[in-house]
Parts: sequence; structure tokens; C-alpha cells
Amino acid sequence: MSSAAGPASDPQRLLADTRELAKRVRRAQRVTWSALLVLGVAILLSIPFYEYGHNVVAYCQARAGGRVCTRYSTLAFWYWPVALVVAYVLIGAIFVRRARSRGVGARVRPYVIGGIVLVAAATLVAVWDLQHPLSWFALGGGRLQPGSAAGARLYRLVGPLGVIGLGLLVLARVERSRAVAAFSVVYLVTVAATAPTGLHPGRVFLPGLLVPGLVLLAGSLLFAVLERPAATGAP
Amino acid sequence: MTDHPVIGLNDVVHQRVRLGILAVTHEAKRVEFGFLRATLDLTAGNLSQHLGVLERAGLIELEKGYDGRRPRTWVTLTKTGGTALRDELAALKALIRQLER
Repeated sequence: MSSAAGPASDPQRLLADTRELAKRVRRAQRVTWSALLVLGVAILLSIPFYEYGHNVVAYCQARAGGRVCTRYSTLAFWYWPVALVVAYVLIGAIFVRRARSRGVGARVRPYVIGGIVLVAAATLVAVWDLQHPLSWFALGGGRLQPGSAAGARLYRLVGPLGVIGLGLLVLARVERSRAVAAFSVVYLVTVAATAPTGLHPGRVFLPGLLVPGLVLLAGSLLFAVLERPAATGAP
Repeated sequence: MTDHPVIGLNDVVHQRVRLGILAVTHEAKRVEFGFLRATLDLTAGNLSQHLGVLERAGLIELEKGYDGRRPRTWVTLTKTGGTALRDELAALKALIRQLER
């Protein structure tokens, strides 16, 4: 304990030592890199589901001047809730295993539960959106035009990729890490910026998945380096 | 007359090693004996003595078990321990304010 250098009666030193100890414990608890790695891989694994998934046209509704339908890949649609729940359970297991090996408990439950709740909410929004084509844009009171960049970007933030970023903000809160919070914001901006626009995006989904997935993998590498001193300092 | 902040200091908690144990256990749900020993840079005997004092005061709970074949002792902060830590930190801050006046 660093306070060995000073008298126990010095309240400022005691407080400073207590804060330093708390920081050391938090550093020992962090396994951010593994969460980013699992989520990055989950995004990249979704690409074949979009590429080779069977596209269906359904939920057609009569609108002025014709019909509006939803065209979507069923495999890609159901990939997300399954893959993300599996990812959060896996992340929870990695955190617990790492915590046991380091001898310090991890506060991972709020992140795992928060992540799964966000996935459930995003799935409900997606199901509603499937059954009500273009209704999402109507929510903007006419300001969001179908196929517009603003509408597509907002929609991405409530979709699976956005949910991953919101979950990372929960992780930042749990780990009390400004670095994770800043990274989450960068990731969310990337997700919004790479949203496929237009009514018939075709294969433009690829950069929208590839870029956020690679950002998470790069973040995983970065945090693995940042968290390394804590790993070597732990018993 | 207003009470001086030193009155709020708890003799059991105020000792620097025991305050350190409470601070570490407050951050983690459970802490293993070896992690505490390495983090606080103590000998096993010294740490055991302080843990005994805190356990008798009801501020922590000790749980002995095995991780595979290796015996382990886990330390958990009790609700009373959490309150005592918060009160101690508040008293220390009040004392600093008093001294800086």
C-alpha cells in the first residue's frame, strides 16, 4: 500500500491512497478488449447472412400512388438477436473467468443484462418496422424523407449496430472509464456515418458492416494494449 | 457547539490498512485473499489479522472455498462495511475542509 510512505494520521494521504486503490481495482477488473473483440466478430460474421440470405418481399401496404413493401433478408434479420444474445453471454463468461483468475470480482452483470434488454428492444422496433414499411420516416413528422441519409442514420442507431454502441456506453459507466465512453461515441458516429441510404441499397450494406466491425476490432487491439499493465500487475 | 470531524472517524475503519481493505472490497463484488495481499503489499499474517478485526466488527464477510484444488479465501464487503466506509470518507473530507479553513 502506497500510504506506507506517510503517516496514517494524514487525512489527505489516506483519501488519496483510497482513491488510488479504487483505481487499481478498476484497472484489474477491466476486460474491455474482449467485449470489443466478440462484438466486432459478431458484426463481421453477419456479412454472409446479408450476402447469401434469402430476401423476401412482404408486408405490402397500399399507399397513394401504389404499394409499399418491405424487402429483407430473413436470415440476416434473425441473425442479430441470436448473435448478440450469444455475444453478451460469452462476454459475461469471459469477464467472470478473468475475474476469478485475477482474484477480483467483476461488475459485468449490468452490462450483460443491459445489452440483452437493448437487443430485445431493438428486435421489437425492427419487427414493428418490418410490418409497417416507411412508418419509421413518418415518425419524423414528414421531416425524414424515405431513403434520406438523416432517416437512415437515425434508424441505424436503434438497430443492432447502434445497440452495440449503446451497450458500450453502459460498459463505460460500469467500468467508470472515460476511454470506453469516448470510444463508444466514435463507434456510434461511425455506425451513423456508414448507414446505407436510398430505398434500394443493394450491396451497399457491406461498408456499413465492415467499417463498424473493423473499428471494434481496432478498439479491441487498442484496449488490449492499454489494459496490459493492469494484467501484469495483478497477482 | 458543532462536533469536530474527528468524532466521526471510526477507530476500526480509520487504520490505513483496514481502510484499504474496505476500499478494495467496495470496488469489487468479491476479492480473493491473494489479490488483497498483493494490492496492499502485506504479509499473509498481517492481512489475516486486519481481516479478523473487520470480520468481528461485521464490516466484511470471509468465505473459504476451493478453486479447483487450490484453497481460496474470498472477502466480501457487508452493508454495514459499505456504510462505515462512506462515513469514514465523509469524515476525512470534513476534517480536510476543517484543516484548510
